[in-house]
Amino acid sequence: MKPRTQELFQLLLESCDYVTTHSLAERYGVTVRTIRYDLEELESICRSLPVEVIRNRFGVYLDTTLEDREQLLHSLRVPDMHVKSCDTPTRLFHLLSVLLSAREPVVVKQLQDILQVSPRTIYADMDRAESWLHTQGLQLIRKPHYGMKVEGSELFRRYACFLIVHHVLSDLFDERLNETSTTIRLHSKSEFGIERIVDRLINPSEFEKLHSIVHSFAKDVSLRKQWELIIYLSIMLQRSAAFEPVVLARQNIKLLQDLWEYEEAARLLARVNQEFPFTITEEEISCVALHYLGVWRVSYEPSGNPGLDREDRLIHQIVANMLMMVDQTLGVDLKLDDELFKGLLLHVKPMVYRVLFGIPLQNDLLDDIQTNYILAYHAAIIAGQCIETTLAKSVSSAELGFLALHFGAALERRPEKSNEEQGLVYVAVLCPSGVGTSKLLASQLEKKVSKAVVHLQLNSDQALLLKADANIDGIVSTVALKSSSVPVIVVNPLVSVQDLERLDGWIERLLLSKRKTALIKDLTIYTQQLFAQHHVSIASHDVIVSVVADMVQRVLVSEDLSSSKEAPTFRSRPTNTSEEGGHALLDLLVENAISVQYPAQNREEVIQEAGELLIKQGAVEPRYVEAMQRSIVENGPYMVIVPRVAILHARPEDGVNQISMSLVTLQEGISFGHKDNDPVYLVIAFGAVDHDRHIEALSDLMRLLSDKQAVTDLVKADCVQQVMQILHRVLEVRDGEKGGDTI
Amino acid sequence: MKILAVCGMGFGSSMVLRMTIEAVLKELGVKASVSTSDIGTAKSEFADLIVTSSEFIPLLKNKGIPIVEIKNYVDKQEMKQKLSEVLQK
Repeated sequence: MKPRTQELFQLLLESCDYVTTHSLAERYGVTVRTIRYDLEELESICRSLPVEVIRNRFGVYLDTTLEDREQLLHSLRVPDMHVKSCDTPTRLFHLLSVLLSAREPVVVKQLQDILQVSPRTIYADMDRAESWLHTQGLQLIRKPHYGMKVEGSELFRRYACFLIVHHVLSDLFDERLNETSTTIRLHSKSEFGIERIVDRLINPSEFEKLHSIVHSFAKDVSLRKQWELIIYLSIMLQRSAAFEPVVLARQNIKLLQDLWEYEEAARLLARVNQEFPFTITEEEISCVALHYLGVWRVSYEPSGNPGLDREDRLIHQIVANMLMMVDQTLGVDLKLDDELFKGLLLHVKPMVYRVLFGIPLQNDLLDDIQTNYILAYHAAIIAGQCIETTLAKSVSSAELGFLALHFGAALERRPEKSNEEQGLVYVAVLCPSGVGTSKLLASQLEKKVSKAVVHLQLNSDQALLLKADANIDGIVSTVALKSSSVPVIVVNPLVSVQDLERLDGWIERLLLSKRKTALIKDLTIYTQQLFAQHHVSIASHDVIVSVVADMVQRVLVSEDLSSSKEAPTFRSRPTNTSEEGGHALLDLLVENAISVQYPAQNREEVIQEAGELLIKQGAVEPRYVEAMQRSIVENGPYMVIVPRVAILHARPEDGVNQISMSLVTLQEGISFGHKDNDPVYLVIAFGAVDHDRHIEALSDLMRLLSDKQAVTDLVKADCVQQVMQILHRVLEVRDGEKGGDTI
Repeated sequence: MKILAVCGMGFGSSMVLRMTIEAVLKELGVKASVSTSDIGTAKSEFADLIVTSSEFIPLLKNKGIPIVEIKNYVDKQEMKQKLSEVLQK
């Protein structure tokens, strides 16, 4: 009885219901046809037993008495009778071990005998074997009347053997981890006939001997690595006894010979040679060195890696080069990330030799990485180019994917400036000598100006040498400075009240520009990300447009947040010029932007008149006025924000050419529909170009509207000149009061 | 805490509103960040307190955030009284 038939027998006895042939075929990973053959065999066996095999459209059922069932099950469980047939993966390893160890082409009939399955199942298995071999850089040649044969480099073939033995013996290794003995019984376990797989590829007695050699020779290497060396050495002995030498390129061996791993490998092989005589060649040493290097897998266990303290100039140079290129291209600062540097050193070393020897690598995460870590993958592409130019070999996307993981982690690690930190400016204080008054100034600043952190105390000469990237946002000085790369404010060493006010405004502006810089930096990275995405998959035009629009929006909103903070309490005029975007109400409400005692009949006419004044200045398109009309219908009359006064506007994208404002007073009160603030006598319309630049005018407007007397006067005014006078009266007084804030 | 000043479009009246709020907060000695938003965005934005006109209140009610209704956007007295009522809770 075949092992699988026996198992089937047991399974069917245990089951008290019909079992379908389909489910059985699935369970064993064979075709229904194979199962039918098994069942036929079972039927012939059962003829001599008190069991009837019932097969119908419900499936298979074994009909017998309860006692007989128990009896049969018991006899089936007798150990020496019990060789389990194998599941699909194990059968695949059987097949592969046959193919890899065969010196002549293998035919299907041979496999059928070994695997005990139908030819159909074998063909399906062959396909699996072929694709597995392909991932290992090997080809399965299949020809009619010839058979099947594995072709490819001996290096890869040995590694394929290594993988199979490693996999099949993995249970054994797990047991080894818990023991300290230096001997091992290879056949302590025999399940699924795995010992036959192992026997085809290695010699068990050599294995046990090698185990003790490696264990005593390579004590400082991790147990896992020792185990891998043992497996590889046993395969090497087999292959070399079969006169299957490894062929490697001379120049690649030369590169390996500089490494300590090569020396170590040479010494190990010399030791092995004492027990098992074989020809030691440079190629054989190189293969072992590659195992020492860990080229065959990507591992993330740097702990206890003896390579860490041994400097390798080539690798060092490549990694430094990578970081420089990535930083330059992406505008990030990863070269300062020590963890990344160390991680890359460990990762890149085996990677370089993998690329050099063309060793294939699987990366199951690649798709995920490419979609979710776009920027990191982009960084990896740039880093990969460094390796490509150094080695003149191409780097696979699987390799890039693993590199991307390192960059991804580093990008995540990048210090996010906390809100608190963003709200602080770092200043240097300065006095001619750099000692006395600067100390005084520093303590005054720390006591009285909460948003400033004093980083440095300087004298005049040092200030001139201060570089823009010295982490200093500005200099507070007691003397005038002729030139400096950072903003300077001159104050009295004792810091007067006026000085404090000026300092407040100065610091607000520094903060604003700091935020802008940070945003621009972010924007650069996002843009790079966008392009990186473009590299991976061509994003549609619309997507790019919307992403860019979103970024711009972020910048604007953030600017608006920071600039408005200073607006209500402190009028911070730009230091010397007004080109930084300040637009005072008085600059906008010029004479031809004002209409007085307009005889409107309804609110539409009011909006139209206010809009006309904007159109006449060329500040808005006619459609802007339509948008203002629509807005009041859609959003309701909330724009009557103060009793008697309505503020009218639409969005910048509704057709605004420049920041503008108009003012209309009404002959008679017009109802806008506001339950508290109607009727409206005064209307101010404006056109904004963004979220930011009309803030100053709005701030002025607020002053104006909170002055009830001024509003009453405006409503009463019967000529434009009167309106202008009132505006100047209210707004210029304040300018006069705060006139001293200009630095 | 975060206060949201809401108007129909997010950069006219709500900015005026924010200036008033910030002036009042300073007088009250309360630290808070005030941002502006149009009614569409406000529905999905997080805040501890919303300040707006009566017409937008029904649209924002189900956010479960306290709302202060303001009639006169520049009246510090009104703002001060209404804000301090809410802030005391």
